[in-house]
Amino acid sequence: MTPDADEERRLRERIQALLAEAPSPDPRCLEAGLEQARARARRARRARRVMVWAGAALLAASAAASIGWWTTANGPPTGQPEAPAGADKPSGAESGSDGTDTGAQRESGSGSRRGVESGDSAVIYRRAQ
Amino acid sequence: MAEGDDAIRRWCHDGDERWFERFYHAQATPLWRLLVLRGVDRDEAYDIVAEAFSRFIQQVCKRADAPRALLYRIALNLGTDRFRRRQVRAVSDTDPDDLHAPESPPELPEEARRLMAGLDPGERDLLLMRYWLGMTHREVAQVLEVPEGTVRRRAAALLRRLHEGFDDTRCG
Repeated sequence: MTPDADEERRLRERIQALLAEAPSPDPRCLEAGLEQARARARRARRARRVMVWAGAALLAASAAASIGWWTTANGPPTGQPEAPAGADKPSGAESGSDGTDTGAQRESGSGSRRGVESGDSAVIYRRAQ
Repeated sequence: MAEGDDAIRRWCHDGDERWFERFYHAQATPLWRLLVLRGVDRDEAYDIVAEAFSRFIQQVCKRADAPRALLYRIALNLGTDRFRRRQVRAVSDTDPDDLHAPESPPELPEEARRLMAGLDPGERDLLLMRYWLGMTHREVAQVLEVPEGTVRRRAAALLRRLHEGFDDTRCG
């Protein structure tokens, strides 16, 4: 059974009256405690700021290290286009070193290649480029 | 909301020391008086208040849901720790004078001293926090780290005891 609100209020008033003579502190002594608490609060705030900056620096260093690792693993970008397809097969105007017109051969659809001659033509084509 | 809780939350938010001072001035005096009524020596009570606020500062901004309850919990635990250390020293020094329970201050009326002496430590803390400082059941539960229902039950039992006790004194 819970006491009703009136009964609780009466008892509270009675207790407050009984304890009204409880001693009170010296304000000067409490002020000393306030100074101590203030100093501790300032130290705590400084420590928190240091932790925040240290955390940020650690994150930045970690990010930089990750980027460095990724660059090393994947190699730097070359920036140079690959040789076009069929570069080793020169155009019709050009001829191989042995006088073979490999372009005409292609156009005729012969489909055959004299490997050595087309290889020589490829070398001349690349050198020309 | 407990008096000063909003001030300490503002201090946590923007670091303005004036909010912290406001909270300190609101809570330091009742906290000191509570400690003395629990039987702590007056000079020691100043030390405990200062130490409690120092520890409070380190913890409060991490969980600012019940700042006043946190402060009182720290202070009561410090008071209990010091009393137990004195007891241990008293046993080792074989000084029985330090083994007795803490006494109420002599300024209190005889009736109040008898009332406090007749309560166990848990009942005394509940009486002081709930019916003297005016804390809510929830705050007392947060200080004592027990469920709110437990505090309500204990408060009801305490009131019944006090009611009977006061009736006896009136009749006696």
